[in-house]
Amino acid sequence: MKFFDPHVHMTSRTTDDYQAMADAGIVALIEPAFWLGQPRTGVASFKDYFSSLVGWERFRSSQFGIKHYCTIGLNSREANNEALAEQVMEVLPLFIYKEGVVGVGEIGFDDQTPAEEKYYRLQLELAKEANLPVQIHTPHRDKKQGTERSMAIALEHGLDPGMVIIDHNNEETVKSVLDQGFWAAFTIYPFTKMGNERMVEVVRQYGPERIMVNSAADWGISDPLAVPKTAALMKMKGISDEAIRLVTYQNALDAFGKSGQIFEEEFGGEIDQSQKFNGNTILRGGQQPRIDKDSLFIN
Amino acid sequence: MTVPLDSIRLLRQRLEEILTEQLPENGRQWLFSRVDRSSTSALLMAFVAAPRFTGKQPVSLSAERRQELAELRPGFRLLAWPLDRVTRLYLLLQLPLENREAFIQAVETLFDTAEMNELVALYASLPVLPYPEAWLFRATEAVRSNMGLVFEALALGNPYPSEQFPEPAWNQLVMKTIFNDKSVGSIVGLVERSNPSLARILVDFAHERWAAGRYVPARAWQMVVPFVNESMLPDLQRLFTSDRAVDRQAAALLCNETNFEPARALGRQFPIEHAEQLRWENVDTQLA
Repeated sequence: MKFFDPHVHMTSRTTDDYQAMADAGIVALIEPAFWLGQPRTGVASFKDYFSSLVGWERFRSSQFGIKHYCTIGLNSREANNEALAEQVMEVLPLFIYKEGVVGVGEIGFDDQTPAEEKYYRLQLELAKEANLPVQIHTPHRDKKQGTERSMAIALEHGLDPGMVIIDHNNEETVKSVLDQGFWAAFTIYPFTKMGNERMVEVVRQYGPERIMVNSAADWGISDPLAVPKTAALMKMKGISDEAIRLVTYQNALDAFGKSGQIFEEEFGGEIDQSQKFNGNTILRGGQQPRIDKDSLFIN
Repeated sequence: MTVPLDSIRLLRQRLEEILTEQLPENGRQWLFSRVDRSSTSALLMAFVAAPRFTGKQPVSLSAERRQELAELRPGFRLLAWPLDRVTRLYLLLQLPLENREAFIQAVETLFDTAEMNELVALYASLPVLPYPEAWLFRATEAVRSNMGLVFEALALGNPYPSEQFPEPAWNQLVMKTIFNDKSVGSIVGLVERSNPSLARILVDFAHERWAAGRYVPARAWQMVVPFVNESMLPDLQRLFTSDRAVDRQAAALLCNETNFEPARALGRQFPIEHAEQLRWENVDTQLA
């Protein structure tokens, strides 16, 4: 089977992870712009980060035949530094129109402060203007309330719920999200978010329509193989192949495909790290493409 | 060389004609009616957004057009550029060409925020931008780039480096092309810019590669022709006894073209079939 992980922070992962993801059948992914674990102190750091999402990270991914897309936005935590947030808002338009940018994200609420709300609203307008999907982060604390508020504000700004992906759902939030016409994404993440056994039950109960699974793997203890592992578990528990395909591949493609930036025929290009056209540059001079981990010899 | 502003304006005119003919309808509408050419920030945004409207069909150029372009800027070719890149060059040439500071600042902003295809467009456009000396640092950054397409946009088929790079930067570009297994023969000015220190670096590099049981691209030896000396005779001998035909051919060409008599004598000991038909272009293994 082939998989699409629509939320994974590859910047924080190693090249080995790319290799394992490709081996597990992941053919495309979306890397949302997020918080790097400590606050940035200047707009130049944001610029470099956004540039790496559309540049180096995309290139690194391509070396494993994985099509890399991203969403660009000012995350909720850093929206609280208003002086910096203003400067970030100025450079955002230069990034959201770039090739392969499939949405504005991840944006929304963390502490649910007035500053977070202000920049959430401004970015919704930006997405509307650019006709791009929105990827919404929902808070860990006061989740239910935060999710409702995020959806209400999006509707207030006139966004089509079919253009909005509400992320990090759980059993408590999913019904309302689906009932209002939004896409419901679920993050399979050890300890803090969903476990994949619970996920199987959600799909059993609500069916596969407008539901998608992601790993949100980042610098925390997380699992970049969460999507294929969840698919395997669904299969073992008797979920139909078609339902698995929808929640681990097709729905993400349909939702973010509304950006006009996703071309399925470009997925799963032949992996050839020695190809001359794209350069062999995750490989240092003389290094052989791929590593046979069973071999004693290191060439 | 610095391209006169008049030629750049004429080039802009030609690009406008090409784009008018070849852009899809919505791309043409977007470019000629919705893009505000009086505003630098609107031009920068359009530069970024271009592929969303123009598509990536390769530009098609009649022989006449190619001739015109070659006269406007010798060594510069639009051949096989996708339309988004042509559009991006056209937009760059809409920036305030006469205002050095403003022009440089706008292009620098694009470099600062560019993704890969934008970098390719910027580097491929360098030969026709005004103020060529201003892009020197950026150009050396492309040589440092680990993204193959970015490196190629600057290093291959582009007259900018041979015209602007000081010798150490030039040598680095040539060696990195070899190191990355890209076509040495596609470097503009390869022979004209060869120098003794590059020849020495190449020979040292060949020794390392041979020690590792690997090869040097045969075409690279062309740069050594003017600098063949006594110390290189064992290397030539090694090339003549290589199991690769292109190495033996390179050795024959070297011995034939050098003025260093002992090397010419060595060449006569290793006759090559069809020696009279040998050309450096044909020993460029990367083009095969």
